[in-house]
Amino acid sequence: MLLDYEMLRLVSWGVLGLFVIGFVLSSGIEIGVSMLLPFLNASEPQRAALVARLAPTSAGNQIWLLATVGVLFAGWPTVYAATFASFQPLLLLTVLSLFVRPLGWYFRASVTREEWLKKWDKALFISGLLPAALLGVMAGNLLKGVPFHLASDMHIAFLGSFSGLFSPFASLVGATCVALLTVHGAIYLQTHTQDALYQRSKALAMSGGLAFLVLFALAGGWITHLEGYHVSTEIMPNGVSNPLTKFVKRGDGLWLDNYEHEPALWALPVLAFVCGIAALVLSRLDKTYWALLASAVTVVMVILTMGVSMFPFLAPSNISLNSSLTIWDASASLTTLNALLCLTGVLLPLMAIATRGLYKMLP
Amino acid sequence: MISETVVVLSRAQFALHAVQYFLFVPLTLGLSLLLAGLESWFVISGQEVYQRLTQFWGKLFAIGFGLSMASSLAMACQFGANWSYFSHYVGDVFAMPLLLGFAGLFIVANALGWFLLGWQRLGKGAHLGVTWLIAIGCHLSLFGFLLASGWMQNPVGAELNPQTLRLELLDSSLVLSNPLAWAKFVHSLLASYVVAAGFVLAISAYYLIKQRETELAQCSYRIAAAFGLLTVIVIMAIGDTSVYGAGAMQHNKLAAINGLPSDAALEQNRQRIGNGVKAYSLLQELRDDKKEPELLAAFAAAKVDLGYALLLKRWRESVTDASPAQIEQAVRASLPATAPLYWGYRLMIAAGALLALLFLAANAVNILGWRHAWLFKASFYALPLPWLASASGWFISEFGRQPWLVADMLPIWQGVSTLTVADLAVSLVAYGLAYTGLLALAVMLTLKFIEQGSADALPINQEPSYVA
Repeated sequence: MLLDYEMLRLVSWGVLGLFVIGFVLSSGIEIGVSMLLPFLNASEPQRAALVARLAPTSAGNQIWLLATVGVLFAGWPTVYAATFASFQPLLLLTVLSLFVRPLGWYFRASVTREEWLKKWDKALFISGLLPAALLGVMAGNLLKGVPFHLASDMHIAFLGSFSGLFSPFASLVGATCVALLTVHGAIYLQTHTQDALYQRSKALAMSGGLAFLVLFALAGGWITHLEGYHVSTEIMPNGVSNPLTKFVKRGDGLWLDNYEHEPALWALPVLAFVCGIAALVLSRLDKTYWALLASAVTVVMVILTMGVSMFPFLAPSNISLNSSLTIWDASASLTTLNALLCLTGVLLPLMAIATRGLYKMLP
Repeated sequence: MISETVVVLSRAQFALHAVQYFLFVPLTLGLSLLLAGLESWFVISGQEVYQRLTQFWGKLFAIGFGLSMASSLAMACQFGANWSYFSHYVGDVFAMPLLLGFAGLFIVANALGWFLLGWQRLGKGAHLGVTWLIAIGCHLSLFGFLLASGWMQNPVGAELNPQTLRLELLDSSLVLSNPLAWAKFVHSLLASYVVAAGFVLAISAYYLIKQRETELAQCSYRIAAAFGLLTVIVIMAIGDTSVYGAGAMQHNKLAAINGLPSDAALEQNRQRIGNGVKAYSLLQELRDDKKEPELLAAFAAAKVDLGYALLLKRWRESVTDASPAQIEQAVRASLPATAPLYWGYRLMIAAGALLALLFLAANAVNILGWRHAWLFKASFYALPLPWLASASGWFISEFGRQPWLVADMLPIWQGVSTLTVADLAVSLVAYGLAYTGLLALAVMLTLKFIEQGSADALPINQEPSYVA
């Protein structure tokens, strides 16, 4: 055992973050392009070509999501249990819309009747828009706190409602997420199209990008006044995984605590913003490869910003503060985290290389 | 106390996902090996027909895989959503095998992309490697999922931690070498091969009846017949006794299958419930942070039966003062219902025997040259038979787990999320409709590909030269 429990928990948290990044980067392209399909003014052969290009990557992209769920389940079983049950209606909609892909690409590609193709374009649009928005709403709810309560025997009570999940802040995060993936998809399209379609993608990247910058700034401003959470008793990073051994307080702007203690962390949200602007400028200047790189860095920085702001919380509870789950007190056992690191140590680089390789081979 | 309706709805949804899952996972698994075999033979012999066969069955494989992806996605979310206490209680052990299964799926998903795109872009050898990766990934994913499901039947290598109130992993090598999981893996693997052989045989027979694609169909028919007969023989020779080898629950399941009386087992469960209640009250004391060695020792001695105390929770929240009548209720409900297991098992055996006959006859078609139309028709109409055998096998395995989610550890009643009935009903109906729609579309697409025959490659496989 090379690492102690504290380091293991911290490294596993990093690994979870990497899986999230892997999912958003790979699926983000596909989701972004599906959302843009109705707005591209593309001819049928052009659409067919786009579909042919994305279809082979689709299943692999989706497994990044499965793997992320698997890592969360293995690393923080209680967090998985509490959040997935709390988000059950959102997950239902997300999973149903994800059902459309990857098969949808093949369905669309195998039939040539016009009204049928139109229906599939709509279905693919929804299968891009809904997951992007709903995953964003889930992220927003995590920041706001999830309404669950842990009983002394660890049974989880859920006291939320479907409409409660769509608070203004959570909806704002959802919209930010949609805008972010739109930019990512549009810039990706720019790297693979020419002429009119290229110009159209460029324009869409610009409007999506401006929307993202505004929404991201808005969410950032809101967070300074949003109620955040803080562990008020001593944190025991090596302690047993029992979330009910601590006290948690809630207060305006507490999500900025980590930045106050470690000002270097400000680099993350600032970089997200700067790279967002850079991506737009580069896209404007037709430096498409660099623009795509910049938008990928933006995606990574947005995810890191969220993770770091919440650290060490994974799922705070807003109705039973002390039930909140952190990376320290809701993790799997030492043995499991060790095994998890061994497995993901092989899996993560392989998945990254394989995904990159497949995208590279596309026509 | 947990409402019966919540439990029933959660179970219905799990059953729905499981059915979807076992429609396509065996098919894709078996087809993956077939693809690898066909392409290997193409590379070795250089006969072009085997490449066309690989391409044709590859198209159908892609549809099957798309559907098994959809059900895996639903499955991955539903443990947390509908079975949150289960997820908390055993996630420490249960999740890692699932992740291994997802890793297998990733290999398949990515390799499938290369497989479809790579016919022109990759060399022969490299493409063959990709096809083998698909087969390996399919096998790995089945292994991962059966490791998880086998662990629920025979939970080795884990122990209750009174401080975290959940089962924790002690030794991953015990989970990896779980004899029951391996027995299930081998049995399901062979069953999956039979499903794929039956599928290929039926579609080839269809072509032979219609006298289309005869070269392709004859070749596939011959291979499927031989492969099917071989696996049916192996599966019958190995039998399924190894699956019932481990643990009291498997023993009870076997007794139910054979229609044996259960009095002894009930008496044993009565004692275990009594012992479990002791363990439960010791656990309550331990949680009040009494770390006395005698208390710890007494709990360690009694904790194997803790799960039996949880059986009582269905009728009484505070287990320690359950009435004798409630204990009697729990004892009676501690064994699976016998009739479904008894008949399910016989259905599996009957379907297996019919399949053996079918594959024998199909081989006779090839070797003795009987080209009777009725034989082809039988091969075609036997299409559901392997699924019936495999599905009844799964039914015995999962239904025989009653009343346990994790054998001797966690009863089904304890595992659910306390969601509202409305939430659960909506999700059950929505998943049911969505998946039925997807299934219908997939069948349509399959039929379309069968009509097309080997003429066209998959539509996305064409060079899109017209990106403007």
